[in-house]
Amino acid sequence: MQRLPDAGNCAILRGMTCNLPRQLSAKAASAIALAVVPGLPAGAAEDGDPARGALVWSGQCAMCHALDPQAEDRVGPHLADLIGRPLGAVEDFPGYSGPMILAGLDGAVWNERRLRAFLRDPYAMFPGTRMGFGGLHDAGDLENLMAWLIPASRGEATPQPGFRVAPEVLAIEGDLEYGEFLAAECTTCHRRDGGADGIPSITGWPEDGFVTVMHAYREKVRPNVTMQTITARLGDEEVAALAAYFATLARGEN
Amino acid sequence: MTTETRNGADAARGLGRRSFLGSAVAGTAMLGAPAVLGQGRPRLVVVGGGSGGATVARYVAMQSAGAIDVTLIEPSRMYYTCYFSNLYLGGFWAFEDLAHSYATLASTHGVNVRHDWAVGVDRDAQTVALAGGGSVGYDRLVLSPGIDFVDGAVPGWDEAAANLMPHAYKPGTQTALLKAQVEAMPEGGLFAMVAPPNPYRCPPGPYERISMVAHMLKQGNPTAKILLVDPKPGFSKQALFEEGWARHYPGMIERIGPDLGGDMVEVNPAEMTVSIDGMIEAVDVCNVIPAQKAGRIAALAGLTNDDGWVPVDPFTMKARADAAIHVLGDASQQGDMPKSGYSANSQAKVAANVIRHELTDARLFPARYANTCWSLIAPEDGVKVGASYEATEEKIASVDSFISQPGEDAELRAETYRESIGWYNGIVADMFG
Repeated sequence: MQRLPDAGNCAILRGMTCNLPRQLSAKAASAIALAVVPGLPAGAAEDGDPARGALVWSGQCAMCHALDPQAEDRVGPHLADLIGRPLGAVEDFPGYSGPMILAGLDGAVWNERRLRAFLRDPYAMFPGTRMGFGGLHDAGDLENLMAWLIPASRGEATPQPGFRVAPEVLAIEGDLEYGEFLAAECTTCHRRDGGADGIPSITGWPEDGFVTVMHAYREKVRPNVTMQTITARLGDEEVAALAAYFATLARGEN
Repeated sequence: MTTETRNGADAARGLGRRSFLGSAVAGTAMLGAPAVLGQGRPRLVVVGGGSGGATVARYVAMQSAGAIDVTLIEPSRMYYTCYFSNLYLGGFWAFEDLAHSYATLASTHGVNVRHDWAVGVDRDAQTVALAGGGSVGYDRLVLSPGIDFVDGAVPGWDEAAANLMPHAYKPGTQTALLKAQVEAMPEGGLFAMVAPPNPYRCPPGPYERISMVAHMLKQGNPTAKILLVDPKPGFSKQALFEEGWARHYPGMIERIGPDLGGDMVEVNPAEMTVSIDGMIEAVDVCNVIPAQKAGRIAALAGLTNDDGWVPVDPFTMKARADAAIHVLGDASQQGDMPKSGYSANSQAKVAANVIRHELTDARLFPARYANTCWSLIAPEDGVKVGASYEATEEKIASVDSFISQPGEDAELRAETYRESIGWYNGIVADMFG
């Protein structure tokens, strides 16, 4: 059975207090979400700045995750009412790794400590995680995101739209055969069978999500110099072709 | 047929991205390109089952779904990757994990895997002679033989001396020998490496190896020293390696560049000495990585130039001298791409597309190439360098590049290391899966 690391053992996390607001008024939350400056309302987090956290969310998270449980499929599961939810438990989301589902079945739920540890280093918690994100290495960014995400997940902040691709670009129909050729450049690292251990799986993603993520790399909104370089020369048609092709490959088991 | 193949190469050359994307009929226009040659299934023969050869055999067999008869000629039954062999030296990777079987290429993709040596190419008859007897005919031939060492490159050393002074620069037992020698070093002993001149396989490889040997010695023999004799004024990821060496292995590694006689080196394997510009140094282990050239079959096929490499057409990876032969990976002289497994794998996909286009009616797409080289400096301290490339008339040219930065935080370095493990598992799946 998957053992979950104790975030208390993690050096960087020691000595950090987590003093997030239990409740935020809707008014206060929307003020934060607007990313208008500091001056946090009474009772807000001492360590994290939710306004800055909203920017982390829109830059790093929102291209794959929605806060609205009714949102269309994205690359990652929706994050509504995250705290208290079992791991790997969004119904009908097909992309969880096996160990995450098992941890949830075993009773593990998302709490602040676990979420912080996961966001800081997803791979350390779940070496087979299918979340294609290397972790928030900057402790300030991490606390800011926590300060924004937890209330936002409860519906207490206006959702930040995050990085989005123009509808006409999403509407481009991918050329599957060209996608198959282009995909060979990806499969040097990203396994066709969907397996992932250090390089994320990219099979079976919703096409719009795939396109959004590739454009985010191309615009250097999303970190990783290798992916920024690879996507720098992908035109919109090429991204669409890749999205169409990889969507035809089943998500891996791991 | 020569005319037909030239047409194919010309088609590839004319297929810039702009024209390809700008023309909705590009795909159908390509269907008019030359198709099947002669009777029966067209035959692809691949010599060398490494990163270039295994990849092109797998892609052509997989994507042509039986329309092309694919034969892979490779003497070894198991392939040992050169990449990650340094991690085996450092104790981070098991020797067995470097080994990969050709079984799936045969059973799943229908590749005829022949464990034999190719000992000659008759380019007029289009046949490859085998050491085991007989020959195999081809419509297209891929040579991906890797490297051989230049005779006399390091005075005093030849392949017969490799059991005393291993090169450990071709996959397999040489790496195990070098590891055993390092483990047997006397306390406070001296490890020497004679690094190769450019161009050579895996530009950061010697320096990653220095790092991994230093890591080994730091664990079990911390007063031992490392002497790096280098004919080159500079080397790949130099700032990153030197920063890492100073941090992880202070005082252990000394590099002698050409300014101090690093290009004037001789060795005496029987005496276990190294002579640097006349100064004789007794060493306990000596890793000699000589100057390199294309694997022997490339010269036997008459395709190599005076430098010992095969000039290739950047749009197709065909030998400039023979439009029926593609040459991939280390053996090719193509321009800006480093000689790496990743490069060979990338080139193989361009060649596979051209081969399928010329032998069947598959669509032809514009050539594109990429490479990334990851290196491990110390536990969890990974770095990378990489680039994307495009074909030009003159060469394969770098379009855009990146490299890890000195002073990066430990978590990013750990992520880069993990990425390298993902890449390793990815590329071997892409070759043998």
